[in-house]
Amino acid sequence: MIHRKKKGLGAIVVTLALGLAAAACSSAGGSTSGGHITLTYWNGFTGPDGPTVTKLVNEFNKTHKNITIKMSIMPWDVFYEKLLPALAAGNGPDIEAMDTQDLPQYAVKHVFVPLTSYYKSSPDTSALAKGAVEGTVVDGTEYAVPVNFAPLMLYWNKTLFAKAGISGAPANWAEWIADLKKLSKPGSAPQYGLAMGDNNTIPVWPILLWENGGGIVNPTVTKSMLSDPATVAAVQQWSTLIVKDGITPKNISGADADSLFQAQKAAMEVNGPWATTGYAQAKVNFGLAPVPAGPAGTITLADVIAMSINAKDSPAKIAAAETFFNFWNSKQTQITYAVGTGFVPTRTDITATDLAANPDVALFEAAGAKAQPYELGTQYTNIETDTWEPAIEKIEDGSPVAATLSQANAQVNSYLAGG
Amino acid sequence: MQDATATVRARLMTWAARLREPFATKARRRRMLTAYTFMLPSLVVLAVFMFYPLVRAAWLSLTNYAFFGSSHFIGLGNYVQLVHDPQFWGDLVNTVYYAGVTTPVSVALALALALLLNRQRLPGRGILRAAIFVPAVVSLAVAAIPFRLMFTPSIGFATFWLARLGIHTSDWLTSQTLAMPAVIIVGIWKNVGFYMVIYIAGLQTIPREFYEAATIDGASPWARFRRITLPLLSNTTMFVTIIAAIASFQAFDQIFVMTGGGPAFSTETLVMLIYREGFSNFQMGYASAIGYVLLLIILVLSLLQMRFFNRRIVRY
Repeated sequence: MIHRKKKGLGAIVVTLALGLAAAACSSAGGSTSGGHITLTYWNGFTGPDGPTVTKLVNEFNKTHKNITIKMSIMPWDVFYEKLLPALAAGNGPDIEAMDTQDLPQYAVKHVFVPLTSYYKSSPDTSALAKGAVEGTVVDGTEYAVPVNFAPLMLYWNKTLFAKAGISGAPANWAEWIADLKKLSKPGSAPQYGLAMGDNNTIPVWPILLWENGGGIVNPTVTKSMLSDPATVAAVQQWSTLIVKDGITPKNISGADADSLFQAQKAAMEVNGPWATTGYAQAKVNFGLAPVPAGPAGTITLADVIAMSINAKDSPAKIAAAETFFNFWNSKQTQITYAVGTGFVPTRTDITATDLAANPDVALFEAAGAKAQPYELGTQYTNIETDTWEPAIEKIEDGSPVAATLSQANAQVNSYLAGG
Repeated sequence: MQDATATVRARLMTWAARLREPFATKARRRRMLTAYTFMLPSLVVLAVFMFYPLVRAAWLSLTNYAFFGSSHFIGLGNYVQLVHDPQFWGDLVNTVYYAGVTTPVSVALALALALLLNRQRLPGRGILRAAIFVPAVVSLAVAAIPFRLMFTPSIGFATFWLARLGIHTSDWLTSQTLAMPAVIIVGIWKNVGFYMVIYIAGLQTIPREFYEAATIDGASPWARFRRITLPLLSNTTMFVTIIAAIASFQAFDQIFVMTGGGPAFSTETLVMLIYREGFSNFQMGYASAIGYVLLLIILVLSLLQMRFFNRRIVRY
């Protein structure tokens, strides 16, 4: 009697143990078996550029018989939420593509392989755009390879402009502000002159500050510029337009802004090349123009996504990943990518004739000449998400501009000083 | 002095004897073994997902663990940082504001609904009860998505219908004053059904004779409520208030989805701060410390509530 019960108990315990062990066996990132290397690649290319990226990865897999790239595309917020715990648990992907704004925070934790030797030895890296490579440098070392280089331009809705009697896109701030006031119609079904997100978006506010001679931080990311007169003036001017003239909804996310422009409820949007296909499919009759010139000239923001290699990868996997990087930045791949997505190629040696199949690319490339990346070093989250965005939210809710910015200025300086 | 030691010793021995009792005989031991075997799966789950994280978090809160790289023991450093962190105090105020409104309103509304839906002859009583209870079983994070759309100025119901009534609110979730009421509304909506069901169960334990006797004695409905219903529900009220308070101090789901803690941190609660510090700023040690302070706050609050209610429990 006791024996049987003990056996029963034993069976339960063994089953439990096996179950726990099976659950605990996590699937590792990739695997190496008999010379064939599988690499996992995570990124957030859920937009219209996704299919082109998938096509190119499949091409790589076909032409490189002993390397297979297993790509997982997920929304960017899911990507960032998954990446950290995965890296901490040692289950991170072999290759990950992320915005260079976020790269420094991860790079200083030594989760990515330093790529200085790759850059020195690879034949293609010298042809890469300087702005794109700059974004991958943290503390003097390159930690990633550019995937794309995306300057922002002004999308304008030709239909809504025609209805308002405006002939073309604005060329400078005076024209821009006049057009915005004409195109913004408040009411129960409002129309907005501009769709501008201020959170969870590719930042547009820095452009407005730069074009007025101001900024959020100085070029060497050592001091805050939030209390500079040029910055305060720009924030004052544009926040008044937003609050009093209703040129754009307050405190919307980047995705909301895209939806507004796509639904033709907003006449303009400052956005990157990834949006062209989506808007074309939604039958928005849009045109592309450089961001209107401010008092300090035309300056736009360039967003760079770059891919890095997991520091826990074996030398064989690192070599395989570098082979993929060479493929990605090769001339032919970049031409296919640019033409298919509208992104500017990462290489500077691709001519306009190569890109003739997609005329938008040439426009973005021209804009790229006046573009600079928005870099905040390792303090990106602290400055952008925790200081700048709440400050703008407060200002758009009625807080006095100078006082709020002065508080934010002190906050940013304290982050830059000691973090 | 010797008397005191003797009493303590006697008490300890009685306590030890009581602990030994279930294992005294062979038959009893076998029964205990069976009992523990049945409990084993739950105990394992609790151990892995509750006790281990509790202990580990306590350890983490004493270090500067930041996900990667080496972590060092820093003693009470995180707790000291917490005391000096204006973000923590601001979020504590937000949390108290949220809990201070959600708890009494949920409990009062649940009682009112329970009284209403306890009437025998109410048509559609079952459907109404089920409809009010459904939010309790729906994922709050998922339900918060349509609520967010409802409060969005450009397309939302809330602003549209309120405007029809003459109340003009252009922005709920982007206003520092209206964002918290918006998430409070969702928080109340979520739990009121659950508390209502508990109250209905409580109401049904009150013998009808009391009401009959009171009616014969000429008591008004309000007097019946005040002198019979409310006192006899005191046990239920204690339970509902304590769990409502605990739940409201842990508010996270709808705030994360609807406002992300904004605008300008006006809706950020302590749990959101824990998430932000831990997963956005990578400061796991600090986040664990905040977690433990929250645990302490909820514990003290619950003990105070129990003391308050225990004095007022009525049994006829």
